[in-house]
Amino acid sequence: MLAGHEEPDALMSLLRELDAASDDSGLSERLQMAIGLLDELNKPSFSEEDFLARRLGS
Amino acid sequence: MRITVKSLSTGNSGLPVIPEIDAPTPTRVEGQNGIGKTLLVRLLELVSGEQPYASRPDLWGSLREGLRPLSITVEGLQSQKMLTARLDPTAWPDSPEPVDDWLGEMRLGTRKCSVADAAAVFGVVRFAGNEDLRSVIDSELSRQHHEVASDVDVLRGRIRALQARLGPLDDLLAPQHPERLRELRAVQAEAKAAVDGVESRLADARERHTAAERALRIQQLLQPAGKAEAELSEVRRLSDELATARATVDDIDRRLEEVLQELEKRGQVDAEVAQVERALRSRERRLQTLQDEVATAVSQCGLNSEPDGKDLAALQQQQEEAVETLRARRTEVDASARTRVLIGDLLPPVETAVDEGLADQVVAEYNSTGVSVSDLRLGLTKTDSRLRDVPTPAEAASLDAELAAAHARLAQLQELEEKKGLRDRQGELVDEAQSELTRVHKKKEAAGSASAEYKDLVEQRRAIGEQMQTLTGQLVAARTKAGLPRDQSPADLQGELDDLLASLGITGEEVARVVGETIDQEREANEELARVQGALELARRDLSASITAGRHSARELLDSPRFAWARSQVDSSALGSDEKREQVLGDLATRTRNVARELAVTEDLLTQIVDYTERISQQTALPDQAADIAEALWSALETRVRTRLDSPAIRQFLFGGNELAAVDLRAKTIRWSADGRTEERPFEAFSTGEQAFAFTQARILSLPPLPAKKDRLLVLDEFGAFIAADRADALAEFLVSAEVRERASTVLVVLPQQVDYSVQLDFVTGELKQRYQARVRELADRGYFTEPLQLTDLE
Repeated sequence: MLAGHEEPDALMSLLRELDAASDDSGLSERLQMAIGLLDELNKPSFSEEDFLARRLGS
Repeated sequence: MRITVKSLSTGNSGLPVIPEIDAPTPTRVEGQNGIGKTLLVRLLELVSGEQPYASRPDLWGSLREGLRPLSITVEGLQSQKMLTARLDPTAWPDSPEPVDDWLGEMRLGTRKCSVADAAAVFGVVRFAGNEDLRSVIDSELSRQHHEVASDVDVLRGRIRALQARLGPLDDLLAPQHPERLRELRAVQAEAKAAVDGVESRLADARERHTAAERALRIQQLLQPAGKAEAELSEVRRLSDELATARATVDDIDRRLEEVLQELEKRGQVDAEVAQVERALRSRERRLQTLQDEVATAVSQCGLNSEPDGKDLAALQQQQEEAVETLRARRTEVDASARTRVLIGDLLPPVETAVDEGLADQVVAEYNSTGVSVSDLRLGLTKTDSRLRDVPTPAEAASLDAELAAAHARLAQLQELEEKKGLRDRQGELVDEAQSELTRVHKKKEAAGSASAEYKDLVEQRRAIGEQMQTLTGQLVAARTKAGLPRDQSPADLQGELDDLLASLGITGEEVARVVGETIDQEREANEELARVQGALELARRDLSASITAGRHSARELLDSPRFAWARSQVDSSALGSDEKREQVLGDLATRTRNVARELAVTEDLLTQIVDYTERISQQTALPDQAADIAEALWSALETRVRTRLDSPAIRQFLFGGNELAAVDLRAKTIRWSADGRTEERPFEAFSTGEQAFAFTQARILSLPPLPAKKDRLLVLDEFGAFIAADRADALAEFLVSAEVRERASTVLVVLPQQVDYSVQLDFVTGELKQRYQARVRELADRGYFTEPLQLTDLE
């Protein structure tokens, strides 16, 4: 490990970097779908029922 | 900084850990292998909140198994507080998770604290002497993988929990999904089109079959030899004789009219005679016509001779009974089909109720006996099975044809009865006219005004009339025997045959073959019709079952606690009508499926990323299907590694102060620009002793300067290579430099035992000899020694 570097949310930042690096529209679509979904799942106030109600209501 | 370790267990001491390090910085720790020097460093890393086993779950397992509870104390911190950690490996997780309060009881001074609190005042950084650029990059890739995998583990748990809620709703609504209903409707429409197509093909086949059969029959009738020809000759003879008789009657009638006109002139009596004569002739003509019609009706009924009234009534009675029998059978077929559709509607919700444990619940009463859900299911299943043996739709079509034929024959018998009645009535009218004629003739004879020619003509007319009646009867019988319609001559038959051959598009020689072919085609079409009608019935039942399931789904959605969370998503007032329910449940099914799909796509994507980052860190090939994501992943990881390596210190030590341009993980090269030229080197080029030492220095100087009141323990582990080489001086000088002191409050240089100091005692003198004697004692007591690191030590 290289010292001095901390990544508070390694997955999310990697997904965003992949999206930035991708020139494949299908992959970008999947990445953005995952980023949007994980943004919600990562919220400290996350609750399954609220999440589903919001998603099914949209 | 003083570090002490105490065992908290009384039995087996477990993995060894060196008990104490107490010396001013930099400190030399030297000892035999296997006494727990590196293990203490690893435990200190855990206490500082780092997880050194993240990429080595196997070693983590061994540590949990082998380490006994112990306490570690760190004194001499800038925070002026003593840090104490009581570690209990039995409470640690199975896998090397990021460090959290599961590690053990932590105290700062006398107050309990969290791992994060400890990490705020105490950090540990360990560099191994065998880590060159290549191994550091490999470790970095491994770290990236484990961090991502750790995040994915947490998120996968949430995704699975969401899927566990969505799955039952998706299953419940699956029959109402618009795509499913569209598919069922399309299947039904397709099956209907198939039935229409086969019915049309069957009708064509039947038409061609009928035409071909008819053509074949005509060919047989028109054959110049054999029994058919004899029958045909008889028909021709009788037809000719009848035509001749008709012509004679016409001649007599013309002459009679002339004579009557003459007689009219003779007076009133003659006029009366003439009038009666005309009436008689008219009635006789009408009678002849009716005779012909009766004969035709007899032939159409397939009878060889005219039945009397009693026989005809019996035939009609018999035919009416046949019609009734067929009609009852047809009604039974219709009722069976409708009953099976009803059972198809009822069975799915009943089966669902049984599945949900309602089998013993009473849903109806019959003759004061309770009918349970399972009774109902059994009864419905048995009835469905029994009705499956009732004639198929193809047999129903056959019944329809038989019924139509029976109706037709009954109508023919009724027509025959009617014609007979009219004829008999006409016969009575003729008898009346003859009586009247006899009366007026007597009157005329009395008046002496009779005509000999007239009498002769009347007699001829009567005789020929009788002859024609006989001939007509004989002709009917002959035609029936020959199978000819009464009103067709051989020429007519030939014309009909020509028309039939033209419509069939065949020659006379092909008729027999086409008859066989059309029989096969009709049979095949009938079989195909039964199959496609079965498919259509199945499609109708599937659609009906899906719509019926919608009622059940609506009830479940409104009543079951499993779906309480989803209830607010539907307008419950709209679930009462089939049409609105289909729309409401269809919308919810679509949204549910979309969310489920997003979760599945995301989980797949995360699984792929974890798998591929692991493969990259282990330098194994990515699968072919990774093509879309591979390029982006390589690019992102290369950017990450380049960013990590692009510190001012590393630039200075390794790349002549130039900015790092690119890292190519697949080619394993590093590129930078120097004096307008692009320099590119493989990772391996940085593995020489000089480059590795420079890299270690660079990594140390890449550490951020220490904030106030925070300590950092810098450990240089496995640094034997540096000690043995001519870079030892430079290392010792570097470790006491101000730049290092800004980044590490304490430096440990951990070494394996360098020499047998007891042997060396004979070759040293003075202060060095005293130091060697102390080392010999400590090695004998504890297996290691600690002392301040001195430049002379490394010479």
